[in-house]
Amino acid sequence: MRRAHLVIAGTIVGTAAVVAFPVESSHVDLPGSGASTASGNGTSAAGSTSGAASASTPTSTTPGSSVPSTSSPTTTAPPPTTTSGSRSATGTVVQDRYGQLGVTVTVAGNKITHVGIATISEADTRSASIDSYAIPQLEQQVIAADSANIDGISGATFTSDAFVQSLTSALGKLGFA
Amino acid sequence: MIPSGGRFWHVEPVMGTMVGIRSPDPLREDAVAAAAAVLHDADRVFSVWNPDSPMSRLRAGRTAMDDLAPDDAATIRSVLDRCAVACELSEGAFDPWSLPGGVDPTGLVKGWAVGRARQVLVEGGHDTVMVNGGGDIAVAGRPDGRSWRAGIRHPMQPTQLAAVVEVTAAVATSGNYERPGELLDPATGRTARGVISATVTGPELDLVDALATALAVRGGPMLEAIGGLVGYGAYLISDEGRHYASGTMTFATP
Repeated sequence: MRRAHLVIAGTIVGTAAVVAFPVESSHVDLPGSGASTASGNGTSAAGSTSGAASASTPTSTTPGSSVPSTSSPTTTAPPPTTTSGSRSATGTVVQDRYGQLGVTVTVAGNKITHVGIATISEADTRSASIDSYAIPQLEQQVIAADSANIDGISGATFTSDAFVQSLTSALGKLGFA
Repeated sequence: MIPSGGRFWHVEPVMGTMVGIRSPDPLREDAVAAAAAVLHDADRVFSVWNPDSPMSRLRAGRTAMDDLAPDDAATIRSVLDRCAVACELSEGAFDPWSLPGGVDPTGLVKGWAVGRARQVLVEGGHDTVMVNGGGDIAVAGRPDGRSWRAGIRHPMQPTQLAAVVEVTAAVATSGNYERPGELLDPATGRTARGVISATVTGPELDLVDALATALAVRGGPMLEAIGGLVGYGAYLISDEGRHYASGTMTFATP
């Protein structure tokens, strides 16, 4: 089994987690927005959630959890301008109890340089809080990765299986399995 | 095996979050694979999102403990044993048996799994390593002869830290700021109030994880109780913005 070591590095402006309550918008300026990537609508690939290390214990959740984006998902959080050598992929759009979620990941070499929301249901109340909570959360991981003073960040986090499924399938498309 | 700022990182998407494995030494492929397998196995057994996970089937009454695969049953039993310890230490503030829908060890499982991953990495030759599962952190050794340092996320200002604490074994933070209303006091059934961030350090991440939840639920009394446990420390931020600490919580200069 090929095992790729990915690192979080650079200007991550994505979202690692989503929260399920509306938050007053405290907009986070994203560095270098606008560059499009080979994201597509993210709905084409079958739900290959068999990502890293799942050879031992497949985390196959709901079969058929990959659904077409029928409820007009909105595109949010465009990835930053990518430098040459960066590759992007969008993972399977996953349906969960909160709505639909698709994740885009950009990798330079073996470094994750961006994780973002590619598609999210319009009705998804998570979108309101992504800017104010989830994006800074990932940025803090970058701080920790690059800081000489801090090795990690501890904080209350919202876990999302949909996020992991979509991220894993996106990484799989980039050859990390 | 990617150097980043003199460190080596591996990122594993699992358990609804990204688990980071970090070491000052080059990562050992086999040890990382074994640690990742432990995390995915915990996900398989305990996933609350998967209605067919052994724990979900058990909770729904669709299967009995004796009908589970022996390994899965043993895993669930050992986690529930740890939940019982955490329930006693927290004087009932952490009580997976009080939750609606049957016993739910979710509040301890992530810490338990991350702690096991740390142990597997140590046994695989990594004497200095940090495993960070979405803010639940287990460490071994001392990087460059100093303590591991964890930034505690500020509950109201997401881009800032409230403090930096030294970690000799495990740290976890709980709070209502990600999902308000989710933390209920088992004794009263009411939403916890008064605490917006609760951090616990101690020797074992599964108990630390559960006690952080207990601290967020019960506040002041739990601050004292945790402070009285050998090797544990507690750090609480009240909804009025006041900071309190007890026990062996050690703060570092940010």
